[in-house]
Amino acid sequence: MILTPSKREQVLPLPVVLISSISKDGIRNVAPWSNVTPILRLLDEIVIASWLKRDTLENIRQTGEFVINVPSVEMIEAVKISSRNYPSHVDEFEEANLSPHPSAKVIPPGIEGCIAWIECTLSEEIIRDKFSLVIGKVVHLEVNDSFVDQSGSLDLEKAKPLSVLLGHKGMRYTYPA
Amino acid sequence: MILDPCRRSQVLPLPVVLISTMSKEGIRNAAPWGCVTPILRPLDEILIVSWIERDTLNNIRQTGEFVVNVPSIEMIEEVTTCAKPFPPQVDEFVEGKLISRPSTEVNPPGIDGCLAWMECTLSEEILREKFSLIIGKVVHLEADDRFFNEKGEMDLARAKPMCMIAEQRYTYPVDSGSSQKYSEMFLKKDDLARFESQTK
Repeated sequence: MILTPSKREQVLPLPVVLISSISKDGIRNVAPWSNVTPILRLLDEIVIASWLKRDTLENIRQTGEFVINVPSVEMIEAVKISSRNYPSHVDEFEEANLSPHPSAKVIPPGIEGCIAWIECTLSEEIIRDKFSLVIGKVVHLEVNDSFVDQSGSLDLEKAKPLSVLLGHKGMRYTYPA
Repeated sequence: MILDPCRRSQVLPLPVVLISTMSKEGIRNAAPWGCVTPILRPLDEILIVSWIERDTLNNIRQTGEFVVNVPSIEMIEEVTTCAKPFPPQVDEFVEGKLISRPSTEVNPPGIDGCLAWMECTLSEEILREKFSLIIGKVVHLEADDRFFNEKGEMDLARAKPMCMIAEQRYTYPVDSGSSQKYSEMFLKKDDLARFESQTK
C-alpha cells in the first residue's frame, strides 16, 4: 500500500521522552518529545527536532540547558497532560503534578520517578525553514537505581521505558517487550 | 547511579531500520541503523546520524538516494549479519541473504520482507567533525498491506517492528493499553481563557 510520505512517522516505533526546561524568568516547562535520537552510540551528544515556535525551544535558546527525562509506562497520564498547549507562563510541573528531580550540572530540574535523566547543554542549533535541530551535549547522565542492575544496565522487567506508535488520529503508548 | 554520558543510548528505546543504498558502481549495501528520527510529524523529511567513514554515507553522497527499510523482529538474523563490517566491494544483499525489492522513485532497492519502505532523496548533509547529519526527503512511502490498515496504521501485535534498548538488545514494542488522540493535545477554549486570566 502506498502512503503519503508524511505518514513515515506511523511505520517506526519511536521513543517518548519528557524534555524539561526553564525560562529565563524561572517558569518550568515539560513537553513530551519523540523526534529525538542520540548522535552515535559512542559519543555524548543527542539531537532533537523542534518546531520553530515551542516553549521548549525558547527556553533552550534563553538558558542553553535542558533535561531529557526517560519516563516509564507508569507515567502515561503525566505525559498526556504535559502534551497540552499550555500558555508559556504556566508551570507545567504543577499542571501535570510532577515533582522536580534536582539536576547536578544544569539549572532546569529533571522529573522525579523517571527511569533516567539526561542533562544537556546546548551545543548547536541548526535552523531551517520549518524546523530546528537542537544538538545537546550530555553533561550528566543519571539512572534511577530502582530500574537498573549493579552495572547500570536497565532491568527491563522493572523499567518499561515509554515508546509510542503513531496513528492517523492519535497514538498508542507502548514499551519494549 | 551516575553513568558515563555516552551510555545515554542504552536508556532510550530506539527504532532499528535497515538502510539500503547503492554505490555509483552499483554495489548494494544494507546497514542497520538506530540513530534515526522523523523531522516532525506532518512534514516529510527524516534525519539519520552517521559516522563519517561509512559505506552508507559514501553511497548517499555519490547517488543522493537511499531507502529506509523497517524490519520486524523476525529479521533479527539478517540485521545481525548486516551489522558486520564488510569491505565496500561486498554486496551486502548477498551476504545478508536479503531479497531486493524494486523501488519506485529511487535506484537503490528496498529489502523484501520488511514492514515498510521509505524511499528518500538527500535534502542536505550537515557535516561536523565526528559525525554527519543526513536529512532525507521521503519521496515514496510504502507499507506491507498485511501489517497496516487503509489509514496506514500498524497492527503492532502482528508486525512486531524491531527496536533496541539497553546494551544493544533487539526487541519490539508491545501495547500499553493506553492511547491518546492528537486533538487531546489542544486545550479547550475555557481552559485557555482560565490560564490567560491568570496573567492579568
